[in-house]
Amino acid sequence: MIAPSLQKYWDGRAAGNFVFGGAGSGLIISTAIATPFNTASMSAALLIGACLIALGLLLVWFEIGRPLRFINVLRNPYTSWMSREAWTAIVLLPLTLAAFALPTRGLVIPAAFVALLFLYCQARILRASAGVPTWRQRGTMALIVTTGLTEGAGLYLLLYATGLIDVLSLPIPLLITAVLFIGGRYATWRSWLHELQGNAPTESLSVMRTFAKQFIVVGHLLPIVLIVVAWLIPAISDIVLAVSGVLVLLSGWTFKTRLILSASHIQGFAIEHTPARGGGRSGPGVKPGWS
Amino acid sequence: MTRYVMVADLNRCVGCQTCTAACKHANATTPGVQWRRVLDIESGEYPDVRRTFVPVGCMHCSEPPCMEVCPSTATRQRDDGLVTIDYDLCIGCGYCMVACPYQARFKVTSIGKAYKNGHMSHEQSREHRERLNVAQKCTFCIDRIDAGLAAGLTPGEDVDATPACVNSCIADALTFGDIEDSDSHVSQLLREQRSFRMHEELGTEPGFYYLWEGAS
Repeated sequence: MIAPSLQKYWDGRAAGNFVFGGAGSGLIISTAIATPFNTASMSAALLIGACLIALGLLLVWFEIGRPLRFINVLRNPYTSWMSREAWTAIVLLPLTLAAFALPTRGLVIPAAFVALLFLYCQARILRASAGVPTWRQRGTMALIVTTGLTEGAGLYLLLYATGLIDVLSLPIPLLITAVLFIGGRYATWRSWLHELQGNAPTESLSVMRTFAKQFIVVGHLLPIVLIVVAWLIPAISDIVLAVSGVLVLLSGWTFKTRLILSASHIQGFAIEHTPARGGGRSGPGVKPGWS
Repeated sequence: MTRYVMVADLNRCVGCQTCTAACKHANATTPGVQWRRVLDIESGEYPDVRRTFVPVGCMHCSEPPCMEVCPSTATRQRDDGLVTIDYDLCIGCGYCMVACPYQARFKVTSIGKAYKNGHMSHEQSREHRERLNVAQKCTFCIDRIDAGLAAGLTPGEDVDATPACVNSCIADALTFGDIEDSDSHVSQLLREQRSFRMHEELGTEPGFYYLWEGAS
């Protein structure tokens, strides 16, 4: 195969790490944002956030070829973002569980900062994947971070609306934060998509262009409208916020799954010049699958 | 300093895949794994069509993205530029595979066989279980280079210290040697002929050069 083909090295298990790790770390961050307004409410969200991150890492463990050597993942924090992610998780999970057991702002806020670092590591893992053009773009970092933050906010809204978080009143600052996160994801998505033009194989571009409309409408416009409705009509806020949270969460997960599994065409091969061959003349280069 | 590189003359390569076969023979790679392969690229539109044969494999980059991302430090780079994999350290996470822009890395989960009805005797005698479930790739026949150097030979000049693919090339299209040595064959070729490296824009500084216009 000369033209870019879909990468088959990472499957749904690897995608699961980005899906659950992003949502989990985002949820811990959203919990920290909501904490000043609802100090009693953080426990369940923190536990769920930690479990999601652990689930993502467990999926990666199932993916690696030599699972009994998993400890070797810690050997290269000097240059490898996968190592850094693992080290960050080692700090993040106990810290989050400690915050769950002893719910104080003094533990939740540091946990949120480490969660943000974890999210950043995930973004850098993709950015460093030089063989996959859609992943290695500069804008991938911001997009993965804002996606994780948005998923976390959506999940927090869902937990609130379904009563899994014991909150006395609707945290308006969190709603504002959720809207800002959704807006941030939209902005980084547009920027990233623009960056892909000419910098990614046509097949990858096609996958993302096809996905763009539903991602923008279902994952951004609709959730924001629903949040505004919930704010204006408190009587129906629970159900509306639950739907909004689900849309935000699932759209983010769908995007990441597509990014890892469907829009992940590898670089492919290219030559700058075709050779002269005997008495002939050299010709123009070839880069199949890029135009 | 020494920096081993390979030069492929696209004007000479006829796409016979002898290098591919020689590599498989020398390194006993399992079916489906080709550390050295030759692409067959058709381009242009009738009547101006072209067919180009392009040998590819691990480019032993000066700035290898595979090494940077490797979480286990299994992938390393020697002082002579060769990029290596320690099969005993590798966890088989596949990160290096998505980081390599040259599709040079492989991971297999079982010892392959050429035919359905069991392994052939030579497959059994040369199976490499240490390569199962971990990353593997072209080594530039590192064992031949090291053995040759220990015997006082010069890689790229002496057959016993030169990669199998280079030795086997029927068209003399592949050349190996030290680019830091101005008298080496590769330095001479790169001085006298125009060349390019694949995906140079990615900043990997590949150690694999392609000659494309013939001697000036």
